[in-house]
Amino acid sequence: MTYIRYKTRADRAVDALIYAVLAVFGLLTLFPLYYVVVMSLTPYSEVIRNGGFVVLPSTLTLDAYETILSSRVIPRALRVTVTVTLAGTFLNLLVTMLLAYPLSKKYLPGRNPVLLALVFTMLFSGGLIPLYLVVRATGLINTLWALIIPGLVSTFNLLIMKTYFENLPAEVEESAKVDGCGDLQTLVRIVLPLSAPIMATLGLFYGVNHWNAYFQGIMYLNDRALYPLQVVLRNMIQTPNVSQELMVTNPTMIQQLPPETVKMAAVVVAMAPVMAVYPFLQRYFIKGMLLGAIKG
Amino acid sequence: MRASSIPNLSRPADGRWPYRAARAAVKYRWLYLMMLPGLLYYLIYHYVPMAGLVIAFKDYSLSKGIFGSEWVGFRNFEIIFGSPEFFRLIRNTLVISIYRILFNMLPDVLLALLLNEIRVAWFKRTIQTVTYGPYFLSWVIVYGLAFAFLSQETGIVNRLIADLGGTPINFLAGSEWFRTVIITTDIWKNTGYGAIIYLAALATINPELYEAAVVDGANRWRQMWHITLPGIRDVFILLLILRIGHILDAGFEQIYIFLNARVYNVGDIIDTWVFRRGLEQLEFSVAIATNLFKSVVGFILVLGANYLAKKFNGSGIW
Amino acid sequence: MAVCMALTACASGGGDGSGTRSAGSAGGGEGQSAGGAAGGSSGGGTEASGSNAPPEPERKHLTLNWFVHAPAEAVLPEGDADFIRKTIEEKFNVTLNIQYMPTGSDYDSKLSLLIASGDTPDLFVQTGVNSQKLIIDGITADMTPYVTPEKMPNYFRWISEVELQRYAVENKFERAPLIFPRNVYRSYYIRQDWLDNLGMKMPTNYDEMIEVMRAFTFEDPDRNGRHDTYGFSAAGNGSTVSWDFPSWIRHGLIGALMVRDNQYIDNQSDPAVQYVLQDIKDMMAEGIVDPDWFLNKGTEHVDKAVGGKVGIIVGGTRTFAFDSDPNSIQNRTKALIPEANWMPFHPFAETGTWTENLPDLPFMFSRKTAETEPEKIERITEILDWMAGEEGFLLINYGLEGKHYSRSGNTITLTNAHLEAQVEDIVNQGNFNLVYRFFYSHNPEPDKLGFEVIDERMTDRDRQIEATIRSYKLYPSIGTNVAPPPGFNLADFRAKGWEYMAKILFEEPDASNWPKYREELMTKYGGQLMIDEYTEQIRRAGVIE
Repeated sequence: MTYIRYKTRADRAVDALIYAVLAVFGLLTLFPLYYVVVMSLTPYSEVIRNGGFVVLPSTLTLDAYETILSSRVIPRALRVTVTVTLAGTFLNLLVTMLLAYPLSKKYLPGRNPVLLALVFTMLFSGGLIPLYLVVRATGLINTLWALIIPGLVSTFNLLIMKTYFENLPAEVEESAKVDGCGDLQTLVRIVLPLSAPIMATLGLFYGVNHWNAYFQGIMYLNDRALYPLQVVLRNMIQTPNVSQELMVTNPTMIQQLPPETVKMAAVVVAMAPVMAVYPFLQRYFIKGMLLGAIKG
Repeated sequence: MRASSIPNLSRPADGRWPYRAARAAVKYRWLYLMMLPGLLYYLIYHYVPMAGLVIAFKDYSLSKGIFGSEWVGFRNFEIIFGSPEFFRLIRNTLVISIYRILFNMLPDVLLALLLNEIRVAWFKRTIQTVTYGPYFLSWVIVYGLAFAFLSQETGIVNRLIADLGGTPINFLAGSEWFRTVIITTDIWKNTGYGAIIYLAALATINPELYEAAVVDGANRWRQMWHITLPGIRDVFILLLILRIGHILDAGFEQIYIFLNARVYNVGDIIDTWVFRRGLEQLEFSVAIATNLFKSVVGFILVLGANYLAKKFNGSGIW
Repeated sequence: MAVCMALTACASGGGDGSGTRSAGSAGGGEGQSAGGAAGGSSGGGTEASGSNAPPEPERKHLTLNWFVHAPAEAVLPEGDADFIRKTIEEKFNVTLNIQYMPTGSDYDSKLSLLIASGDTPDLFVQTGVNSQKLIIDGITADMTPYVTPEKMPNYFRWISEVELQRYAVENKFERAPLIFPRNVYRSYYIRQDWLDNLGMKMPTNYDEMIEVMRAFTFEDPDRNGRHDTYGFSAAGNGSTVSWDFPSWIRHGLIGALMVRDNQYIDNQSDPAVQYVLQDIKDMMAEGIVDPDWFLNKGTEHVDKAVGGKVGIIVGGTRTFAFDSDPNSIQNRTKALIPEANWMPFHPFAETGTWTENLPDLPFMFSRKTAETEPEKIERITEILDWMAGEEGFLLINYGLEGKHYSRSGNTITLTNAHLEAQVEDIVNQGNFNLVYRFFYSHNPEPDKLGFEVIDERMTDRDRQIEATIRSYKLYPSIGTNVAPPPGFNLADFRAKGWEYMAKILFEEPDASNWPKYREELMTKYGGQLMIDEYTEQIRRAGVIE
């Protein structure tokens, strides 16, 4: 943060403004979370009576949560998702780092063509069927690996990590080289500890991605015991996409959805773990680690 | 271990190409080795499936497979470009994408900068966490909320307007407001998440720079201009280039949820059109052809943007 | 690393000890133990299901892969809780791997992936239009040697040979319709208690219905001193002009597709739409329709009715307003408004309320399986025929005899005790029978097999409702399924039609522009081609001259 030795009146006014703006935005974004949580705790009859929108319910009930959590499939799906998220994120960060570090060295021959080739993959893709065929050919279908390997490296995250490595001060690595460290040791002993913010950030990105994964689950998994959390939840609360023509000729195809309150409870169950983890990760956005490294 | 049998030229870059390559491979062998798992991944799971792009030029039949299907040249593209809606689709796609670039990138940066100025730790952590929340809500839920607020007859905003004597505004089903609603809800949903990356970048700016600046008498604005902003410049440029590359992806998921027949005129984008076709009839070739078209355009734009970035910023993606 | 161990354990399929359910790969789950008392599980009563030969113990054990529609809440349980599966597997000596999903784009994607990778399921279901593509692409097997009255006598009690013929695509008999409901239960429902409050009578025609809608909107029918009710609501899903509006039938457009005077009429793009739109505009201008009807998605309009905001609504299922259905609109409304009473009516009950049902979704066999392992197809047809017969039908739709229902002759009786047992054994185990009900299009009709069902919960009011709806006159269907001409862009055509309808409804002063828009739809978007093609197909099927 910017340092100010002592604050003028203008400085203090700007400070107040900043706090105010942030508070307002915070409230604006807090509101839907509040709405979701409140709805999940309100009795359904009250929701209907008020036309679907209740700000302060008269009573609270855990019925919706009971419906969701008593389903036999949820705990199992939760286990699957947690496993995949932890293992997957670890592998994601590992492979991404191993790829990003060399690519951050501008002197490495072949760097530019490789980067071009990787960015190319961000834009060009053969589509669902060829990817499925490859996943099948590599034996991943119907295994949890199918939720990890096909998305092992996100080029976007890779580029961010590369940029981060590029911006590390050169002296740090040079001093390591002078001390006789090879490339691998430099990476592990020096660069990695300095990369806490970026690892936390990308770990968050990859982790959230795993947590929210839905489509891969449906496509690659046949055994329902392997279904991750989002697939199970969405099955409960969302109308599948049906063609308009079908809806017109088949008016009874619209399925009856569970009450709004159950949907909201499902959302809370899906969101809560991640929202709980995030504040802990924020600790890693600490500056000053750099400072310590240089001085030490 | 150095292989002493190789001629000891002063720099690895001297000499003829195969020798240079071999020397480079040896000198940087650890770096190359490190990249192996990742590169293997890209090869198998990105480049091999890319062969499927030929479907864009074929009439894909499930039984004949990718290579057995009949070659039809550019016919799929003719279907796309020949649709009476094509011009409108392109226009809407571009307009919405450009709006997103113009209006959605800056709030992310702004939020990060503002948070960066905060000293009170609990306030900063709270705001950071709370603003992150809407990212997790699916667009279906966001739409439900938007409807509760903005629907013409029963929406809270409109009821307020009516109570104050005005005429209710058609936010969701009218051409004038549709794009605005899309952009605004996008900002609201994604800013917290988008700011994270800038916060991480800000966290790595060397504090000594700030201390030195204070000694030099710089106020907060000068510090921001000379230290803070340059610290996030590279990330910003990177994100900008990538967004430009995806300019023909105007945010399908959100648009699909918000779209209704009254706003096709301003909201129907390429992806919603393709999706509708796919629902009515099982059809892969047109979808792949559309993707190919988007990819080519995006790639050209990325190359151009990267070139400009290098020129004005000193560095782009590569 | 411990985590990787967990992953590989999961990778070997299952995760708990019972037989694997994994489908799709060549070596399906084997070794499912047939379990203890083999004879005890199938429903007692007659065995006369008409299958060819009694199951012989030396018959080869086969593994079958199915891919079918099922509602989202259905989940097949592990172990022995699924007595339907157990019965089928024991009786026919098979291992049944069923994959199931709700209809929709995800279903299409998944099935396409399975087919594209060569793992076509032996039996699968798709929508009408998509099935045509699969047949043209050569994925499906010829059904002539399998789906015949000799081999599947029970099936032909539901579907006639003529219907089967008309159902063929390009003269290839490669798809057959799922058993579909013949009864149409579509009706308007009205708040009888509001009528009573206002001293009005049940409307019997269109004009009276509009009168009642006005009264419901302006005369405070729920007597709460507030103007917060509307006469009518529907769900437009943001695009369509709902069929629920009575104006459609008023102007002779019944159902979605119809035939009149030897001509195919495409109701959504007919010239008469002009008058329909004008009527609806008038209704909206008067304010007697829920103003958010267009954006209502799915069943949101029903939610509003339940909340006491709407007086007339359309219901499509038999138990829509029954006392005996816990999820009926009657019970849901009464939970908030105890005096509510929904009763059915229809202004066009005597001239035609809707079209008869046509065969809709088909089931198909994999050509690959038929060529390499035809005995699997044989076995599947036996199973399907059993499902179409009394034994299978009762097991799937009601449960185990004695426990979940009792039977005497052709009368099935369901007492409260039976229903509670059903909840415990079936609903709480994942509602698994809903998966097997795909074969009846999720809408089984016991009376077609000659059963009379007595449900103890049914009240006189329920019976009255059912009788009223059954008395409605139905308009004949178009007689055969039709397919759009190849290369025709159905999606664009329909989307543009709705766009114009929405434009007229919301942005133009009257409906006089419709003929102009329609002209564009017919020419620029190829609508006329489609209509001519459909007419020709209907003619070829012998329905019209």
